[in-house]
Amino acid sequence: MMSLKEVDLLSISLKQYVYKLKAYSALFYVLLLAQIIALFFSLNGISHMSSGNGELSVSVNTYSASLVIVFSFFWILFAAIQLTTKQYKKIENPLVTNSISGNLSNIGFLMTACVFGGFTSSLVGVLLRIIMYFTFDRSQIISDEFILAFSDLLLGISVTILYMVLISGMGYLTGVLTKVSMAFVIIIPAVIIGISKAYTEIFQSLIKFFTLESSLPLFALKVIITSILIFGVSILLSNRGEVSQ
Amino acid sequence: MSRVLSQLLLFLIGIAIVFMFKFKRPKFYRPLSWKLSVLATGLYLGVLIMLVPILYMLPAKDFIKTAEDKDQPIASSLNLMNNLYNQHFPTEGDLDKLKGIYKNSDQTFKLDSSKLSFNLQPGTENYHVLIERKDLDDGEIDVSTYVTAQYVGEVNFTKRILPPTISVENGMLSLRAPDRQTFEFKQLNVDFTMAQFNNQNSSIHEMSSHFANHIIFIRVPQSLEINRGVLGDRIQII
Amino acid sequence: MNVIQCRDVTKSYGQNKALDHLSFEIGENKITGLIGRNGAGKTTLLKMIAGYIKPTQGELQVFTRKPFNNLDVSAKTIFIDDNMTFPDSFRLTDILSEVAPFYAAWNSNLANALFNYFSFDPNQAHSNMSKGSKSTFNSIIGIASRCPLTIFDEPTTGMDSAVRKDFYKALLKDYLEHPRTILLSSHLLSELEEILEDILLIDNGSKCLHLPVMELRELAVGIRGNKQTLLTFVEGKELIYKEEFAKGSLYVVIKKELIEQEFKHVRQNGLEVLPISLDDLCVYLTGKTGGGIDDVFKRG
Repeated sequence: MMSLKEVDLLSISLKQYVYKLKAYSALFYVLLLAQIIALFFSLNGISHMSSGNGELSVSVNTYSASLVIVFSFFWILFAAIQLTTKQYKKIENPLVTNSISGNLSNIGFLMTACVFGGFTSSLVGVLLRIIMYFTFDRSQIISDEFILAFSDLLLGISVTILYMVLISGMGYLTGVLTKVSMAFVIIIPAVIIGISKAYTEIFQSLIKFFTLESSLPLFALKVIITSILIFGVSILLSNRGEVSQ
Repeated sequence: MSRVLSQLLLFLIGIAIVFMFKFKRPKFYRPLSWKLSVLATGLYLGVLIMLVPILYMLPAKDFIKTAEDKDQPIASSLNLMNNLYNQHFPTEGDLDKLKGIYKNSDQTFKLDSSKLSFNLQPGTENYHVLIERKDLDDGEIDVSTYVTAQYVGEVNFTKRILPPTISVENGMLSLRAPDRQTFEFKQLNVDFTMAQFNNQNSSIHEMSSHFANHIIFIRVPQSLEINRGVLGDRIQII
Repeated sequence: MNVIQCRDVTKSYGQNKALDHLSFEIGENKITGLIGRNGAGKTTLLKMIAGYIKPTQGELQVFTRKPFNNLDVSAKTIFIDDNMTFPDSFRLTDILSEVAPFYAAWNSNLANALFNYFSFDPNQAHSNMSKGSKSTFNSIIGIASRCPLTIFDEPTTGMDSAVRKDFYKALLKDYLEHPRTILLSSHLLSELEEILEDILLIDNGSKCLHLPVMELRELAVGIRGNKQTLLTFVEGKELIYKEEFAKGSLYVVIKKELIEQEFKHVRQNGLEVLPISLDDLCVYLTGKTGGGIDDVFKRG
């Protein structure tokens, strides 16, 4: 007699999530590489200012680990798009799956990637400080933002994770839309460029909606709600199509 | 690195990352096992986390502390210079008390002549020479050099400025500015992700510089004859 | 109870109909061979049953549910073909251990034993395997998963004949111990017929016939002999196949039931009655032209 045991969506999604973590683990190498490259660029400083008069000259080199975070943002964007491609979708075929479990496990993977990316990219800032500490003349280092409060480090990590969640959502939706119709490959960039040129104010206020929010709880709320919406739409859209092989 | 160049670079790297994803690896390439990937990423994260306590264990005493309040010293030194310009001269006691004015040398010379003339060498255009007569004739000249507040951004590095070289020979006081000094500072901006919630501006700060003036305070014996020569406007007798 | 129920199913890609009003039922715990020429719609049908694609029209039910995008059906079904993709970061042994948690009845001992028997390199990457090894490896997954519905699409592609025989034996043995519904599509019916119970023959997206192998074997006979005699004999009867293999000699394939009473008559007239292999029969049944490839060379 065949088994009539119903399968549980969540437990299947969880199994797929574990499978995908292992399957896509090579993606993390790309992040490591991107972060290390960004760190090398950061060691050059992001700006150099000098001034002087007849008797002395002063130069200030400014350093920042922000580039590492920017690179990690790029990484999560392309990782999210990548997950929706045929090549990556195909590995679900030999497994027990349906569209929802596939999406849930993808989202689980992306969230893990965001947490990992958020931690590592913020912690590379710590590495940058330590490298500066040992390679530069310490009496030249301005302590001000060099000394990193632990609470600030935690803040940085959580904000980076939130941004990455948002970006991964946008990447995932973009990928799903291009699955619905290839026309979106052209439409999406066109719309983004169009809005940014023609409706500069709307576009900017859309960006400012996140980047100018200075209250962490509000920012978190904005990001979480937006991400849920984006991922929700992605699941709904991809639930209609056939798994192409 | 200029701003534009770094942005261009960023763009190129972004493209490079996309292409790393896009192109399929060659057939002979044997992909790394997931166990190795997990190990490598775990190690990476582990090392980074280990760095956090290390960072906090590093002594921070060598660093340049930034000024709590740079406005007051700057105002006070500007005020002083203004007074000098308007012929309101401070006494030495005043200079020691003023904020933003630092004494960086103190010397005493035996006088070998009854006259004193001056040799202000090129490079000392920022030096204001104040001469005060002492109440007695002890045959000694006391020279103190002062420097007013020197800032770049929030950093007060007035104390690092070398005093001029002063010598008294044959009734001639020579003032020679130190060699051109170069100061280098390294500052670190917090990540923009932290700056957004810390009321900090993560974009590159405009580091305004405020340059110092020097005051040479000379106390001479009461009866010394002083010859200011052509430099009368830069040497004031109180 | 029927595991697969297919009613009037059509699948079209634009103007092209891959499946055309196909209806059949497949019962529980049977090994069915899905036979058809290239492009007959075998893979389309199997993918549809596995839930990868949706029927355009008609109703398809697997385990009484529509299979498309259905988690319950997916849990009870496994679809094995040579397009199965596994992550590059998995070694062959990793694949066996990582796929296992998804299938409730997965038997690791069997999987490992088969894996060792076919002497695979545990550290090899799936994407670097040869076609035959890949098919063999995928088949191990198919057998070891012990899914209530196991679908093999051309499982023996690239396998050498020794491995093919081993595969059929392994499949049959495990099936006898753990009965389940198995669907196999293949070109090589001659090797397959030993293990098949039913045959579903499709042609151009429509069902040609769906019969137990035993019945199919008894379906038709070939008759060979003098052209004139034979033609008068079969006149008015429906021929499955007709071939003029030498001048004045004719070979026809005809349903047995049509000549049941006239067997004696056949022999008296000097005609030869020949058994016909299933393989040939299926080719004749789905043949597009009467005379086969020889006609091409006879013309002109």
